[in-house]
Amino acid sequence: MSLLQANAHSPERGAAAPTDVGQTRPTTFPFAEAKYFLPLLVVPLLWEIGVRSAIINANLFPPPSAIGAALIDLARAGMLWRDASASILRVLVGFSIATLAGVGLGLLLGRLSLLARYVLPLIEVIRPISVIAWIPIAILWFGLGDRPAWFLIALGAFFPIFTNTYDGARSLADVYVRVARCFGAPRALFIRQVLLPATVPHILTGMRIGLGTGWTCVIAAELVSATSGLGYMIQLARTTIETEKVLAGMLVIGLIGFAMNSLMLLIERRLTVRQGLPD
Amino acid sequence: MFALQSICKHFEKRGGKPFPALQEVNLEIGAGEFLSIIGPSGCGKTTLLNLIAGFIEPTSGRVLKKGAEIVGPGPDRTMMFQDYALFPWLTVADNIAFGLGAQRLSASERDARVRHFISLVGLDGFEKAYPSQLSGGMRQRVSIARALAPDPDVVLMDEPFAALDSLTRDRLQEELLAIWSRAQKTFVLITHNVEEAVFLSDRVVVMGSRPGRIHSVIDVAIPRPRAPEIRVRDPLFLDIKHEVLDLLGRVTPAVERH
Repeated sequence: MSLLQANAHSPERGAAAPTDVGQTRPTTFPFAEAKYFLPLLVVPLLWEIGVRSAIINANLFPPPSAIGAALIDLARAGMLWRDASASILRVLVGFSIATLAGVGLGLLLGRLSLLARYVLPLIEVIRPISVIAWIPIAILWFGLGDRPAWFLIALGAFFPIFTNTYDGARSLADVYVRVARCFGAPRALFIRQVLLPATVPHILTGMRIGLGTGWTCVIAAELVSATSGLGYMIQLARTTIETEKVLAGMLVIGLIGFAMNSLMLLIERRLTVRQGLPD
Repeated sequence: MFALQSICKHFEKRGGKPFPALQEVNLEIGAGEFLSIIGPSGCGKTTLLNLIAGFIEPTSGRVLKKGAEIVGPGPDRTMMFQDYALFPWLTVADNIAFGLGAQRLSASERDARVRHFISLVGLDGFEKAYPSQLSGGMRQRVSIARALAPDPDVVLMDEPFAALDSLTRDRLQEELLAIWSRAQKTFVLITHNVEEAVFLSDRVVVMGSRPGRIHSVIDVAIPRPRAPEIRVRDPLFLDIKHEVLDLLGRVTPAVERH
């Protein structure tokens, strides 16, 4: 049984066969044309029609027009910006911690297979514990506020970043290791000019997936352990039964997550192409 | 320069008894010599190269450089790898500079060395190009420049032309020969192409298989510089070529003959 399933966190990569030098093709940017956004207009439109013709219960499913109005209200009151930036800031902190730890440990274990054999079982037992299951202990350890959120985000983002980096470092072509040995390359040079560049496409894929995971984690953390952020906002709106505000918050969560993923895809593409990989 | 003394190399087969890759190999390689090693598959020629490179150790016997035993790989014995093994994410200049990684050079010294070898192999103007933007021949030149940059005692080449069509192959052999005469280094080449071995070398080592051993060593007393057309016209060249072919025919088990 393999302890770490390849591509466990990146179903997209499974489709493109990795080449012999351990490179992956950059994921295609799927939002290049405006027409692909059409369903994003059609579905709310049908929803609106459904509510207005009384097929859909407006109390449980406030129509898009009401959600839009709630969104404008929230933006005008300044709450939207405050909560969104609080969530984004938390993700950036947690994600940075996860990147440092995931890339560092992934490179280390990817090259030291003996150490990996001892450490991987530990990681693989911790990994299936959902971030939600960590919330109680995070509150006990860190109290309320930013710190439990940072911890939970870092935890959630760590695994995809680690797994992809580890896979990338492990699949470094043997011949490159031989070249480095042959020329007596010092370890720092090997890491800088061989290991890191060869692994960067994997690291970027891991970071993109990790950022997405981190974004879902911040909302989960804020639902229970924070007094600001988009997760806190929708929870608060729930207690006052402002359903359209709950949905407006969810919409913002989705849009920010989408923007983050798109940004990471762009970075991934830019960096991978600039490396002068085989075309 | 190099001496292989009574080399035996056994590989452990999975669950079986040790498989003798090389048996009682003795060979001396002179400074500045171009030596080719040729033989049927399974004759241990790559094992021999890896022993000189220091990637593996002999089961018994000694590999000496200037009288001292070789321990592990090092930039005094560089290799031109199959398919060149350039780093696709490094430029031509950085790939060549990688060969200098073990040496403590100032940035300006390193740049000067890189520039020197770029002109030696005729790649001026391509310093900033990536390997993917180069032709196969140019990649080979980068690979040679990288191997020559640390000023090694020997450059080891593991079938560098194996994957090429014969026209490209001929041209690259001529280029390699020109670079060898300019660089004045010891070159050891593994090949399974007789014409290539004879055209390039001062001596051709013919190996036999099961177990891998040196069958005979042929002197190639053809004067240098050697023109490309001697491969089809020169009677001495053709004689030596046929001699090597004949020897190869004798050491190759019948089932492997094509």
